[in-house]
Amino acid sequence: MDTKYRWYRIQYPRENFEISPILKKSPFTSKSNFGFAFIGDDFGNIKYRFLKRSKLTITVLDDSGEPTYQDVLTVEITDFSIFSINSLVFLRVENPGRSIRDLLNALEKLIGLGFTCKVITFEKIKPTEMFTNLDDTKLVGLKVTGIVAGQNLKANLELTSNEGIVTEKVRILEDMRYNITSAVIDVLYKGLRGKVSLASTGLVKITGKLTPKIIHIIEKSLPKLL
Amino acid sequence: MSKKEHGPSLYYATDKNVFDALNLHKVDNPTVMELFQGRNIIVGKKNSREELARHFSRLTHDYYDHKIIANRLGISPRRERVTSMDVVTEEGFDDIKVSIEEYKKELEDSGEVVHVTRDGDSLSLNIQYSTIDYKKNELSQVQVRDGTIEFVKTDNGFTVRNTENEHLTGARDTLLGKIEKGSEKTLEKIEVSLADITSHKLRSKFFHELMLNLPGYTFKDATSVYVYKAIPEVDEEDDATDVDTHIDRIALRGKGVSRSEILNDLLDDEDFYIIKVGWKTKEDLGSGHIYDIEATFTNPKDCVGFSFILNGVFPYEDGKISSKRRSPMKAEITSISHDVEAKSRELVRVLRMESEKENE
Repeated sequence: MDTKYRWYRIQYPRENFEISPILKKSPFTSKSNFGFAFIGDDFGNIKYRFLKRSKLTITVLDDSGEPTYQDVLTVEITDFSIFSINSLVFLRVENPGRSIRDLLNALEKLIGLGFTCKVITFEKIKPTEMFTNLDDTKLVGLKVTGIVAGQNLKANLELTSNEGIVTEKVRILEDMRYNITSAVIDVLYKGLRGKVSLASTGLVKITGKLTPKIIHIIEKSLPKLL
Repeated sequence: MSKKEHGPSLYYATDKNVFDALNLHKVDNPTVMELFQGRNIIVGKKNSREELARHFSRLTHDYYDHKIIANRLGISPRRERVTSMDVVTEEGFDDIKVSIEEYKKELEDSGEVVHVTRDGDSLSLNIQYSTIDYKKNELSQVQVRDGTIEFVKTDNGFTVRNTENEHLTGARDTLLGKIEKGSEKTLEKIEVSLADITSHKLRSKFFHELMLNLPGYTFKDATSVYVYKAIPEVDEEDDATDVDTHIDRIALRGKGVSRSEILNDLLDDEDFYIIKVGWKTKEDLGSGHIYDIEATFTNPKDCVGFSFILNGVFPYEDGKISSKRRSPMKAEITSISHDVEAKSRELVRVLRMESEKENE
């Protein structure tokens, strides 16, 4: 089973700002539209859950075949952690939906003016660079978009290889100026295998038992990605 | 009666004026066809506009020809922002009616059209007036516009709401002056203003709180934030030199602008403050529509002249929020106006206290 993650750099209105007491004061109750709960430890950090009321609309066809709409009240959840590295604060969101706007709005409402948030992407480094300290790292999938120099050609390429791709040796990439859309990396550490997929949007998909190790490696690299 | 600022725009239009006007894109093909039809000439859609304009401009024209062209060139009706103030008085509608009637007559004598309507606790004056802009094409220099001054009864007096522009704000002030004179008591006027709150942080906080904590609504997105930094004043007597490079306002547009690093860097490090915001907010109860609101201070330096507009509504239809924005309805404008006014007044009170604390 794979788990998706996305990291954000966040800033508070002032130094030594404590987020936990603020989230504690905002529980999810029958009267509130949203709230927060503590759900335990997550790789050494407190894991929070954001709960928000929402509506699902169900289309029902009546006897004459006309569609009618019925609202079903539901609660959406998003799990996240907030942690610091070298006095920089980061937000890790687990299995983010298409948008985490409601979570960020709730945090902004509670923290106030001065709260900032910026998604972290991986375009500043080579995809495999973060994982070189593991026993084995193989780039097994690569999607790029770019232009072929001097030929006025736009290219969307998808490369896959179980043996591993060495981008410097792929001739077709030599003449291209390209951006990586996504990269899939197989990793091996102490006999355990894992797979990481990095997307240009900042979304990271991790599969396998190495998940805690991979998260630790990525989070160590976050300050370099800013 | 006040003396008019300008004389009549044009006594007649020359062939050049007509030629130029007919070549503007605002004058559409049906209008050109209508003009020719009046002379028993049928023209096709594929006829060159320049050719037609040249031919028509050489003919004789009358007032109605000019009016047809001028109507096409007139400004498209655009809703304007609304500003409001609380007036504390013991007077009721019956007491202020005399002043309103007197002022209505004055405006009508100077050529304006005024309609007074009463609906329960609210009394509205719709004023139709014309403005002159000599920078525009000759046939579109006179623009007919309209605006509203609305008196809504409150426990302490009235909330006076008017279209935010120089003409209507002037008309509102004149009318309040007449009411004051009629009642022989000074009216206490309470406007939303941050003139006495000089802290840039608190001025920015006003807009941030207005967007995020509007009671009865859930904030969805800040789509635009405009920041401002006044040019430093140079003392004439001082030997100081003029500021050569200075950016006084920056507009930021996009998604989640209020929590962007760029905005916060401008506020923290560059000493800018927020003077205008545009945001989307969802009604908690009721229809569940998303409202697109904009609020600003007309005078950014002193933060006075607070005004706002409900730009549009994304309706909740068939179980989802429509992506098509529609114009707001009267009831929606009234409801949002009430909520924005109440929150902005509360914020001024709170921020004033915070400012006093900061200064102590």
